[in-house]
Amino acid sequence: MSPHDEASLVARAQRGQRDALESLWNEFTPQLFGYLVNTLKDRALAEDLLQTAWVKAIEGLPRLEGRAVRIRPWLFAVARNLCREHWRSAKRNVPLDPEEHDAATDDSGLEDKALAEQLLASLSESDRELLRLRYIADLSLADIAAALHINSVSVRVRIHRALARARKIHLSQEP
Amino acid sequence: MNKHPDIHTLLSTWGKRNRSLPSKNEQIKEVVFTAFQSMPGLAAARPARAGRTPWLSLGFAGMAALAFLVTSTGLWPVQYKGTPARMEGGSAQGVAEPAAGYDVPMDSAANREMMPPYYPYPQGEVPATDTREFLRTSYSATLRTRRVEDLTRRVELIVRGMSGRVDYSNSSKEYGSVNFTVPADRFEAFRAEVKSMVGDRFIMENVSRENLLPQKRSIEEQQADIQKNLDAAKARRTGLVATHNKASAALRSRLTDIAYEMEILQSDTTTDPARRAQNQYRIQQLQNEQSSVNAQLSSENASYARQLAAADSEISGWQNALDGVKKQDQNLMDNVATVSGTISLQWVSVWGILDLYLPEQWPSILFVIAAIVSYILHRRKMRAITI
Repeated sequence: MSPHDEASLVARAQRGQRDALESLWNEFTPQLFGYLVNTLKDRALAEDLLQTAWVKAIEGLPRLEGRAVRIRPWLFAVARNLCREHWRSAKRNVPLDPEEHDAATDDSGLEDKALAEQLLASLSESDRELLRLRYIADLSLADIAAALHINSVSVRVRIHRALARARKIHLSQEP
Repeated sequence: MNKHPDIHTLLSTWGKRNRSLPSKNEQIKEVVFTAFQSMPGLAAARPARAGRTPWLSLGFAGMAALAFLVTSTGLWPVQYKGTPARMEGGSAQGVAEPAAGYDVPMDSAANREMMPPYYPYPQGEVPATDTREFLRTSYSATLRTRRVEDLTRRVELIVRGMSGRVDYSNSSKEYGSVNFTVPADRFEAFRAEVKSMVGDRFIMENVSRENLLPQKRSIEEQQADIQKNLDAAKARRTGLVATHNKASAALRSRLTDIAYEMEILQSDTTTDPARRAQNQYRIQQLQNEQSSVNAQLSSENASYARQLAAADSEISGWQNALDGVKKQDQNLMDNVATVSGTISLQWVSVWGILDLYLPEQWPSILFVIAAIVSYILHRRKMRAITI
């Protein structure tokens, strides 16, 4: 979805048009939910936070003006803040539920998925966060910068370094 | 052979595989959409404006504008900055005037302190054709330092090193002052030495040059008048002496003639009674005339002595006047050949040093910076509120 289409849908949603919000939901929910599940490692919690994030987004819709704040990075910034709040309140007790976590995946490509998870587990949390936003949320560098409140050059450099580290680990694991 | 894809492809695939709808998608969606529809007046809702106006930034901006106006109109006590730390003036007519670019108001205390003493001089007309220059230089400088006593001693050493003399000196921890006179031909070297003691921002100089041509012309005119009167007095004296000598010689000659004739008459031994009576009568006449001439001679001598004394007195007076004018001339030339001045030293605080380096409009700049910073903070805050 182009930024123009996104802005158009937001404008329509601000006017109370349900179909516009439905389009936004269908467009962003898979990425947002995937991001939350991968971050929290808890599907039930991810569903709760997904709902909370969207409700907050709807409450904040009237405050979205023009193109200054786009809903896509904004939504992920809200989700990220919700995760932080949850960790603060739960003292970051993150239970891993592989059964729940992997329930939605099919069997094909399981090996690659496990490999990717293994690689990410070797990286720092900040690297993992960047790669989640880049590959699960499918955010552009500018959107990641907006979500993280840093400039896009820093984002590009940090992603490049994270990928370099992942590549190095990846190569070292090859037989 | 590498059976694994590259890292980008691997992560892209991983990312896609992670994207999915929640199992309770419809339930969650229903809750969200219910919340959406229950939002009051969403269609007409506009962003809440309350609290969005950056009042603090506006306040600082207003203060900046106010401070700028105050400093521009001179109501703010702007301190002397010392850059360009120099006031140099001079004019053909001899009145030193502050040069343009001097940033201290003319009525300020600092300026009054720095102004050199101006000497009155005859207000006579100086012809434009007279282009001679007799420049007297006055110098004063204020040095701001944290080592007042040390620098006072160094100034004295510099003055003496330039073959000058120290007329007055005092120093304390906070203030110092040296009055000096140095030869004009070594003034620039002296000045460079003084300036090298502190940075440009810590010295304010005042050099005034005054052309003493009106005074010089006045002295020359007086000298010419006195010389003329002296010459006339000497001529009168010479004439007096000559007149006296002539009159005196005539009277003496007459006395000689009378004495000679009396001697001849007295030596006549005739027995003729008539002739003897005639001789006696003539001798009586000659004696009377001799007495008269002697009285004239005495009177002439006395008159001459008086007139001579008066003439000598007049000559002496003019000579003294001439000597006085020559002394004035010498003083003037000495003034031209030397530079007198004062170097004041003031202790400067750390804040004072900082103030010297800050621009004149620093209050406005501070407020502008505060306005910018508060606006940035406001933006961040609003953004955080939005998210």
